[in-house]
Amino acid sequence: MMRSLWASATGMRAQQLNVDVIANNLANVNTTGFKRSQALFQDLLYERMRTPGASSGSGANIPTGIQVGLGTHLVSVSKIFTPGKPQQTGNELDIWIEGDGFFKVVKPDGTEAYTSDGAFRLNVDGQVVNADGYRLDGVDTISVEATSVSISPDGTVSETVNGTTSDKGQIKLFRFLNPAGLLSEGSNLYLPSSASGDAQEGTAGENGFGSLRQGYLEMSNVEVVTEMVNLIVAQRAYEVNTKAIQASDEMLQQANNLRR
Amino acid sequence: MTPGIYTAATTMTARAKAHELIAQNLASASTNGYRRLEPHFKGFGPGEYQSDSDAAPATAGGVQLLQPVWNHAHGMLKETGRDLDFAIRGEGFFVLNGPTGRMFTRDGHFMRDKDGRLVSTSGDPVMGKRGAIILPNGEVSVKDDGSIYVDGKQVGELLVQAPSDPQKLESAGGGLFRLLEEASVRPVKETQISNGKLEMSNVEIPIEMVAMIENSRMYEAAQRALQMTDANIGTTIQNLTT
Repeated sequence: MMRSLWASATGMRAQQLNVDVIANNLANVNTTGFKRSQALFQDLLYERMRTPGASSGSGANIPTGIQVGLGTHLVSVSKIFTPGKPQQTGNELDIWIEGDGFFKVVKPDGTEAYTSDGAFRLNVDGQVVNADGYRLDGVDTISVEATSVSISPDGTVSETVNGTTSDKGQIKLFRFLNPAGLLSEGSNLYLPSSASGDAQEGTAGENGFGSLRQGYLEMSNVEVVTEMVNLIVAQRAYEVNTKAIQASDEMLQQANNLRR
Repeated sequence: MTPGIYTAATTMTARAKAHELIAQNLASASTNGYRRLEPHFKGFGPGEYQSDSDAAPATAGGVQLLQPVWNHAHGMLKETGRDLDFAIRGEGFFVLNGPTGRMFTRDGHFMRDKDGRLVSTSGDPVMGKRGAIILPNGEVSVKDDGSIYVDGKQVGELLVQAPSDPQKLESAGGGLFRLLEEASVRPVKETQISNGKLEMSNVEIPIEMVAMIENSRMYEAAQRALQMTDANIGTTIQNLTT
């Protein structure tokens, strides 16, 4: 059968997935700490009708050969970990990592996850937790009487009770050799995988880790204009694939009508 | 000369049946948990036609449609936020206790009946590992292994089974399957169950549309071949009789 029909169908499928990814980016344009995803494509297998470099009947080398591609497929949808812009919130437990690094949160069952979403709050037990109630690693319980909590750029947390300040642990930062290989768990959380490598612990502001800023949040790194352009390109690519299918269909019709 | 007509006719019959499959896939593009059916063809030589009902045509050869194959690729998950919508990631099916026996489905859109039992949209009880699942009022949550909690208290465990051969299923309509008689079930491994989402059909409309274009053009080509054979016979008859 005509290769073009199915090659174009793979093109439509790929662009549909591309639009799915772009739509997810756009849906999260306002999600704290969100990192945009990017879809990458690869060409499919080639049908080799004539191998380049093979010798022809007269003993000469064929310079180019004939290789017909069978379409495209999606090979990766990976997170792009560029920093998002900070936004001042004034909330003392909103923390922005100015540079590289992830926070570590611990779930009630003891499993750990990583996030760049620095919107933390206090729970009833005085623990510093994220929006889902997962505890920020490295920080001790804050007393009920505390009038203020301050976080220094290197992650040291201190509380003030009746004018006296006491140390409440230090927020550690973590990074990965290949952050694009992290598993996205949803809820702004990431899990390490064998592709990302293990988490490497460090102190904020040292060895290339970003320093911490209290009272700011990192916004999504989605840029609406870029996504809109990508959306237009994807939609047009989809459209042109439908045109190729229509052309193949008409060609088949013409072949069928060769003799009336 | 007549076998040519039958050869073309077998192609037309096979393509017409395939058209029904594609139409069914397209019609089920929004049926939760639906699995697409893939038509497969086989060429045959003289005397090889395998027929169950049709009288075997006197052909020199032709094409026939084989038993369609279920494509069990995962459908996309749709976030619904409803606590009685369940979705399976990984292999396996929810098991329903239907009036005619066990049914299998990937459509986890369930509800409570008047007795608090977890039932499917058609009212068939959803099987747990220990019989039907009774849900008291309250917020329902589910763990990866299928154990169901209401307000934090475990009330049952969803049964998820897979047929030993995923092709040994027949459709019972609406994303439901029945096991063929000779098949058996086995427990599943590494399957995750979650709620608040539904699995959509795994039909992709562009793929079905292309399949339909290809199929109708093949039908058309066979039809032309038949017409031409017929015209040739007509010419012969006319030449012989005048």
